Formats: sequence, C-alpha cells, structure tokens
Amino acid sequence: MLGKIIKYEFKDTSKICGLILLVIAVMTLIGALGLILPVKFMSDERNFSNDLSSGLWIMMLTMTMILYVIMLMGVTYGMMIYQGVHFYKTMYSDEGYLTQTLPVTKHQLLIGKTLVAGIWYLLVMICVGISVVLLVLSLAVALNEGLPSSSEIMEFRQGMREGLTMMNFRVTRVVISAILAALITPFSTMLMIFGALTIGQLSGKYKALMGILAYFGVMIVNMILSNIMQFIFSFGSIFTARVVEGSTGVAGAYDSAIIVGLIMGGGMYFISHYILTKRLNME
Amino acid sequence: MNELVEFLGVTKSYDSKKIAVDNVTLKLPKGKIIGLLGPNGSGKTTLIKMMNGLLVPTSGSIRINGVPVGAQTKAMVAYLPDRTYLTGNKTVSHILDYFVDFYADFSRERAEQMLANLGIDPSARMNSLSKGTKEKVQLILVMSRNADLYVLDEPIAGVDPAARDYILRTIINNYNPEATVLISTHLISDIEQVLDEVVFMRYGKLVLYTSVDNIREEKGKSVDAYFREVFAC
Repeated sequence: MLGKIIKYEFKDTSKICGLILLVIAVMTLIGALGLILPVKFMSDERNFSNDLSSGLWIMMLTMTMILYVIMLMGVTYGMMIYQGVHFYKTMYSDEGYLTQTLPVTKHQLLIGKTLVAGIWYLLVMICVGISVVLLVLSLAVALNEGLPSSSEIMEFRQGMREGLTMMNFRVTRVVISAILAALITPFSTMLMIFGALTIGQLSGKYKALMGILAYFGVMIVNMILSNIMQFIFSFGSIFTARVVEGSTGVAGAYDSAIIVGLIMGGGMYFISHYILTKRLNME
Repeated sequence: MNELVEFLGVTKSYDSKKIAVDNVTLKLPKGKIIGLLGPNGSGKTTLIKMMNGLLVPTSGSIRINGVPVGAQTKAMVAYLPDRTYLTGNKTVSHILDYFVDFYADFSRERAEQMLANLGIDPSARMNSLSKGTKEKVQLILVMSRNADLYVLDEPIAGVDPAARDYILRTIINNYNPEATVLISTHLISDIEQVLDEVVFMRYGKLVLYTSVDNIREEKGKSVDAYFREVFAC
C-alpha cells in the first residue's frame, strides 16, 4: 500500500512541482544572459566610454540578479507552501474523507506523503544549487571569453589542496556531513510543516490558521535547538582541542543541522501519528 | 456470530457541553438494510464518522467483524460521506484506477457499466461535472465495491426525486446480499420501502432499534408516521 500512496502522490503533485523546476531552469537562463550580455558589453572598451549605455547595462545586470535571487527564494518557499497546501487539502479538507478512509495505516500515509514531498523539495534544492553553479560558470565565460582551461583548473585545485592542508581541513569529513545534512533537511522540513498543520487540527475552529501559527511555534523551537547544538559543537571543540582542525567548525554546522533535523523531524512525525490515530477530528 | 458492527458504550463529546453521541451500545447484524434515522443534530453523522475512523470516540469502542476501527476495517467498509471528496481536474477514469489500486473488492467493470447507464463519460474531469453528477459518481464508486458494510450518509439529500429513485435502485441492485447497508437520512418516506430495520437517534442517544415489520405490526404505522410521532416537536 505504501507504494500505491507514493505513486498517487507523485501523480498528484508532478504538474505543479514540474512547473516549479521549469521556472528554475528559465530563471537560470535569464540570469545567465543577464550576466553575460552586460559583462561582454562593458568589457568592450569602445562601449565603456559611453556612460549612458554602460549605466543601463549595469542597471540591467543588477535588476536581473535581484530578480534571480528573489525568484530562487520564491520557488524554494513556493515548494514548501505548495506541499503544505497539498497535504492539508488531501488530509483535512473534503478530500480527506477519501484519504483518511483508505485501507492504509497512518504510518503508511505519513511516510508516503513525507517521502514524496521531501523528494520534490530535495530536487528543488539540487536545481537551485546547479542554477547557481551555472550562473558562476557563465560569469567565468563572460570574463574569460571561454571556460577555464584544464591547466587553470588543475592550478586552482592544487592551490585549494595546499590551503586546506595548511588549515588541517578534512574535506571528506565535511563532504559526508554536508551530503547527510542536505538529504535529511528536506524531509525534516516537510515533517515540520505537516506536523504543524496536524497540530492545528486539535483546534475546534480555525484549524488552518492554528496550523500556520503552530508552524511558527515549531520554527521557534527549531531555531532554539539549532542554537543549542551550534553552541555545544563549538564549545565542545575548544575542550577537545580540535579547534586547530579547520574543518571542525564547518562540519560542526552540518552535524548540528543533521541532529536538529532528526530530532525535529522525528518528533513531528510521532506527534502527527499520535494525533491522526488518537485525536483525529474530521468535523 | 451474526453481528457485523458492535458499538459498546460509544460517546463522542467535543467539550463538556457538547455531547454529539452519548453512550451508544448497539449491535448491527449482517445482511440487512438499516436506516439510521433522526432529526438534524441527532448524532447520526458523528456515529458514522466514528465507524469510519474520521473521528475518535471519547470513550467506548466500535468493532466491525470483531476488529477495532482501523486500516483493516476500512477494507471492509464502503463509505459514502455527506460531502463530495472528488475535486480537482482528475478524470473519472483516474478515480477508477485509484479505487482499483486501493480496494481489492472494487469492480471496475461494474463501475463502468453504471457510468455508461448514466451517460457519464469516464474521460470527463471532476471539475467539469455538476454537483449532482459528482454525487452519482461517488455513489457508483461505493456501490462497485463488494464490501461487508456499506455506510451511506444522506445519499438522497439534495437531489431531485428522479435521482433519488436512481440512487435507491443503485443501492438495492448492487449491494452484496451478504452485507449490511446502513443508510442515514431524515427523508424517511423515500427509503422506507427498502429498509429491514431502523435505528432512531435523538440528542446523541439511541432511542429505538427495531425492525420495520415490528413498527408496522405493533404500532400499525409506517416508519415515517411513527418517526413523526416519536420526534414530534
């Protein structure tokens, strides 16, 4: 049954989520063009002497970058909001009368919905990352009139390696922590949204509004817990004399994100499951 | 064991002042068409929602085929709620796929036959259908299951008399004879002829549970007339 829930969740959400990913692709293209064209124009000495036109190009560059950043933030929050609305609609509105009476366990329902929503959110995160990398590369192309040569890349890698070795930076350790944090965060984010909306169901009236308020409450708890974890990791490193290790701070930030994600995600999952089994109130 | 549904001291209260269902103890047998009757606010829908796991009783327990309400009982119960859950731009055919996947007792063939009888296009999108047609599709989905228990909450409310006849015919012709059909309504005269037994509820309490024949023989009245007598304002 879990497989069937996942199948229909993907079917139901693929149109909107696919559109969000398409928006990222289009914004990347616009952002890259908005970066390459002004840089190319201004790098031409003949054009640089023209104050008015170079001013317009700078304005265009700035506007494109502002729009790009706003759009990327928009799609990230847009995906979160869409997943929250979809969860609420299918679980607690009229559609919930079908979802909640399916012959599936509450665990299957919660896991299915969280997995699909988390995967879409992870995809958005990956696409945003790729978009930023492509934008940086397009800037490099605009400045050098070509991609960096293999010798330039080798030189950059060598420099990085020497720098990191000097700082006693354990790259593998940081990369593993970063990947784990990137994998856990989308799912814990979705569980926090779903959990807050489920807590809102405990209210007699204004369930949706109470769900939104509960989300702000969950966010505050999440922030407090993150700060405590960050403090523990940085404070701990002083006593264990690992402060000399350059990677400790970076890895510690990722480690704390992993722990907070697991605590908050796990906590919200069990709260949601408890409410769904013991306190469900489809009035 | 002939009991299909067992309510044992079931109470549902939203707060100390609002008790929707008050200490109901009742056993419903297999193979009967039972009317759950009562005026508005008598607790019929609340009782039905608890049977389907949409509400959790404050106290007491409900068992279907001896099993507490949960994923297992949902596979045995075909539930028609008092509202439309078919929304969005999904096609009727997509909804049929959904039911085929989730309910082992769902007959796609029977559903398509009923859709054809009503002239409903399986490729039609839900948001293009009228409210009445959506209700018919929903009824078809429910009655295309080979369930142990059919729970129909106000299936004939808000539809014209011709549609009422069709709905009642659909229920009578399609339900599994081994199963029990529980129909909640306050439009008694329309469904009286199909009922075997009735449950009367008022202010969340069970007032009466008896057979239709009993009412006719002992009281010398139709169920509708007796209902009006019991619930006279």
